[in-house]
Amino acid sequence: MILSFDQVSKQYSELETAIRQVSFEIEEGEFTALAGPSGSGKSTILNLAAGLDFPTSGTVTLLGQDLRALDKIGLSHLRCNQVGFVFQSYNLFPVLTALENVEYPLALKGVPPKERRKLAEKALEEAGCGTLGKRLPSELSGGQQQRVAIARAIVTTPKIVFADEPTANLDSKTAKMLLEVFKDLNTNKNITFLFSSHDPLVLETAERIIQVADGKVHEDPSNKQQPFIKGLGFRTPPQSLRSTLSYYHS
Amino acid sequence: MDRYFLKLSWKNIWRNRRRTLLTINAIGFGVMALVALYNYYDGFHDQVIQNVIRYQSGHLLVTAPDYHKRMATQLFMKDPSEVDTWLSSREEVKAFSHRVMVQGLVSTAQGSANIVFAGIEPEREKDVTRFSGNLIQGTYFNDDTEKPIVLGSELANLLQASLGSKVVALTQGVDGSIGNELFYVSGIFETHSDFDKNMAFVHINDARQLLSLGSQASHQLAVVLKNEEGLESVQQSFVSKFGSGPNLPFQILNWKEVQKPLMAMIELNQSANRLLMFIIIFVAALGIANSILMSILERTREFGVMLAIGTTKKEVVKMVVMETVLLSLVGVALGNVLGFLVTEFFHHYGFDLAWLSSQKLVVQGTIIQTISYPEIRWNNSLLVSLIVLVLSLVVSFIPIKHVSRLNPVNALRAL
Repeated sequence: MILSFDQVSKQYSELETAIRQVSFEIEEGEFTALAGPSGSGKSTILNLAAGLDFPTSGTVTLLGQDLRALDKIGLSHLRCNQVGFVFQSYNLFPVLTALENVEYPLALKGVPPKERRKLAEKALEEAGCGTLGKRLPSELSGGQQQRVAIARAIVTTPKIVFADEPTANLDSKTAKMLLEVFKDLNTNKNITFLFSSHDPLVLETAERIIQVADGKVHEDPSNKQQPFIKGLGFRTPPQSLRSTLSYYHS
Repeated sequence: MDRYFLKLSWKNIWRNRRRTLLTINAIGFGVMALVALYNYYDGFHDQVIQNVIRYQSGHLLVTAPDYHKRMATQLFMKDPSEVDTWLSSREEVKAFSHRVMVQGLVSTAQGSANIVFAGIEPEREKDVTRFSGNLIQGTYFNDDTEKPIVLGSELANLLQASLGSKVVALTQGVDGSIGNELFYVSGIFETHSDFDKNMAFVHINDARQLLSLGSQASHQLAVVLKNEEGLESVQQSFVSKFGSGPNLPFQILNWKEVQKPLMAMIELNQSANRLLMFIIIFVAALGIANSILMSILERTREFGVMLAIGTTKKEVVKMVVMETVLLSLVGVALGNVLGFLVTEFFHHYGFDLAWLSSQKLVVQGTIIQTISYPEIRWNNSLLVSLIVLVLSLVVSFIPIKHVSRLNPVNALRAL
């Protein structure tokens, strides 16, 4: 088990409870999506899972560590070494080239410059943007920026990558291509992915979908899907999810 | 943190080129102004000091105890010949000269004035003070005039005296008798100072005669050194050799002790300059803080990303500090280069503050030239640069405080 939520609640104020009594577990190598409409609590779950925020009650365990037991520096080190992040709006550093952006987490870890460059180039290749290293983010399309962001997320070979609405700003074709990249990394490098998304494409690609609504999770065990097989495209979602997907499609 | 973060910080400060350039220019202009001004003032103070040394006291002044305080004609050195011998043996000493100072009345048929007669050893005095170079008429004690006297230009006008005119000197001798002597004007000098109207030079022997002093007696023995660095050692050696105390025949004072009011004026001037420096630098530092704070407020979301992907707050703060230091360093470098150029320019062409005031600047009776030729002083550049850097770091606590309070979740939501 790589991540577990045990009776986790997050209350911002007396009137605002983001999530209540949420429990679930993610195993190593899973490709999971948190599905739900805006404001349902998906981002809160991702923030809590990454130790960016703390629960009001309950326990979040990431990579065997109770996140509450770690201090801020411990959390930073955990995120730097074991966790990758992909954001909706890419969030690349605009003054750095694509390659320098990917080098950032390695520089934080203190990897020597030559090795850092080599690893960053490799990560860019894996994310399908090996030729874009010298370009600034402003010179890249949204899809290219998100590929660079993926390269930045995986360059430290993290155990888990959190992706917050990674395809929300992309057209469907680009989104599909990016999801293939995610899936390749999941399959070939055994990186666990946890998405928050209400993009039907993401939900179709996910092996497992955790429904989040009104701060609670609903998971039908039957919606564990067949693994994605490269070259065969996206498989048909289980019966239990079709109504959800048709809602988003509509 | 390695060169990667230095590069990132450098790129960050150039995000808003116009703002950064404005900030750098503000720092640069402040540093340039201070460096140039300090170099100017240092040059000006040196000029004042040199004027006072070369027109009055010399580097060291040997007198009878208390003479300098009371200026009484009765306080004279009876026989300073052993001091002469000792000074002649010192390598550091360039020249020395005895003086007998007499306060008295000088008169002609057309007028009279109360003045100081400086009885000098003409040949030796030439090497000690610069009066000989200020002669505008006549000669400097080297013609055959009997009982020669050299008058200041204003005094000569007052007395309506010209070369060869007779003037009468009247004073009270040290024995209480009235001394008077007839002199002939052999020269007229002009220094553009108070000396021009209240001073006249006569031969030291004539002054001794006027005061009924012995043939070796003198009031002052002015000493000029080859190098001012030898000042303390010569003074200490003198005290070791001749002792110090009210009952001893000699007292030695350095020019700083003789010119205490002048030193006080210079110190006051320097304090005012330091205050000015802090004000200018503080304003420049606030400019830096403002620039960095603006840049940070614009990057709140980016800091959220940094924190999310594993950057510690300490590392983010380090980066902000690095940006502050880089911005300050560029401004300081620019300011020093400009300050160097301005100083070099005025070193060659001079900088005249006369336009600031219609009054002549008189210090200790000496008119100081308002034109100064500043020189590069690296200690000024170093001092100003260090203070800019330190103050910039001090005021950067404002942006640092903002960064250290960032919550990654909120920062990620920032626009």
